[in-house]
Amino acid sequence: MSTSTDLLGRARERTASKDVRTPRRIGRWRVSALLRLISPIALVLLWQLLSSAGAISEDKLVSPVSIGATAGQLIQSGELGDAMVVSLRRVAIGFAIGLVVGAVIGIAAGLSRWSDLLIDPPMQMLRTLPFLGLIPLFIIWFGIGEAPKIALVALGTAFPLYVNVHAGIKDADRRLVEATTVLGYSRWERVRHVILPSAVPNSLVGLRLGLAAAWLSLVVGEQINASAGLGYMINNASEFGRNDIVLVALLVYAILGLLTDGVVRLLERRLLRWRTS
Amino acid sequence: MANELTVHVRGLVKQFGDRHVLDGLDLAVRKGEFVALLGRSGSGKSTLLRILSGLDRDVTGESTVDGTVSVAFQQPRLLDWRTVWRNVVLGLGVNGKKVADPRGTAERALAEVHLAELADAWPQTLSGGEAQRVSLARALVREPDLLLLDEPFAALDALTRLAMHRLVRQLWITHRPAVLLVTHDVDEALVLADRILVLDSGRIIAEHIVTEPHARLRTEVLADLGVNESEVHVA
Repeated sequence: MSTSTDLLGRARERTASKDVRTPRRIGRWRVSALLRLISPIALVLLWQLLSSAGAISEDKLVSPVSIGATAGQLIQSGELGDAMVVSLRRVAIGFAIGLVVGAVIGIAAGLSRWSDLLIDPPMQMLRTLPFLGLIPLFIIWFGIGEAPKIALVALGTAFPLYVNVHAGIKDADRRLVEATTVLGYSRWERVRHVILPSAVPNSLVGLRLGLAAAWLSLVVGEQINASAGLGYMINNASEFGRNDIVLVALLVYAILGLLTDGVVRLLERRLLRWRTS
Repeated sequence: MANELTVHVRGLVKQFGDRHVLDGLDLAVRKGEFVALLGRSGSGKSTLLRILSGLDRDVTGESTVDGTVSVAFQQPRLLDWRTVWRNVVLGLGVNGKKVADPRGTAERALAEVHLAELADAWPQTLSGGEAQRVSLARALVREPDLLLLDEPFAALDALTRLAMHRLVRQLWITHRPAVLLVTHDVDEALVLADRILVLDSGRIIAEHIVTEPHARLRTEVLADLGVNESEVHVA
């Protein structure tokens, strides 16, 4: 009797200690995440205090509370929502094009010697161009509608993707390729099971850099000759000296950028769960 | 049957530019025989292994291997993004072939190398010795006629290496592939092999048959040192 109780007790203890470990680790992580919020919150409070005391002029920089109020109005009137939809559409289409183009030519150049010889030199040369400086040229080529903005986003996305996918494939471990060759893998099987999976970590880096470049391209591209979108909202507000609206739009850019980055992080956690650290 | 050859090499020449890495090499390995190939760095050991495993076909001379070849390399060469058991059956589902029960097959192979409990682990979480055992399981699960071992224990610590010797010997007794072990560790060759070949400047320059008394002596000495080899002693 007592032995069985002992055994049960011990068994229960083991499961319990296992259960405790995970929450504690998450708990510690949560605490440090909370601690990291201290200084940003303090800065916003300081900003608010200085604004309320009149030390910061409302004409130059409105207070956090006013920004919140303006954001509320813009959301209610539907202005912010409409602008967001337009901007999100531009970034989505441009990013999708850049992603496909960058990944496809990156894979082609990575896998085939001839494609590499032909594709890589011009890509490396073009990469050094400050692509945001291409806007005047894009206006000449694509006019002032949606096309130049989407093209700019696509271009900004394509380069980091190309570079990282290409490097990822080139860095694939030759010894793994050999090991699977001995196991009888065909060339296609080696590409599918060894080379492309090897390139995943690098490609995800490219994806994150591409996404950051996409948002940057959007911000710059949208402020030129736009008649809708967040950039247009900023330009318009600037003309009327409404720094509150400018700030709201910038905050929206930042939030959208963070959200999309979060999606890639989730993807990373899922795809790279085999990594020990 | 004992004289059936698994490896038959005659007059094998491999050149890199002007340098003859293999210079008219002759080699025969009988079915189920355990041969160790010793040689200094640059003697052509690795080149010979690459040729026998089919990785290098740019040679002159005759080189035939009868049956399936598996290789265990110096590094385990596991795919980090696949769990241990999927790495084990890596070579089974190729060329459109289907395996009836890959998971069960992998688990049986892992049990043989005493790693059944790590079937679902990621390779990066394994120790060097564990990873090398997975690599052995992957090589053996194909039931090869020829098992090529390319210094598979060189990167392991001394104690793990002794345990691995014992394991390899057991696996060899169970599966009876012809084994060609490349090493520069003389002791290792003495413990494991039936026959030792010495390679120098691209040719076999010496051959030794490992005699029973020697092996027994070593086993006894090791037993004195606390390494129990009794199960692996071969008649």
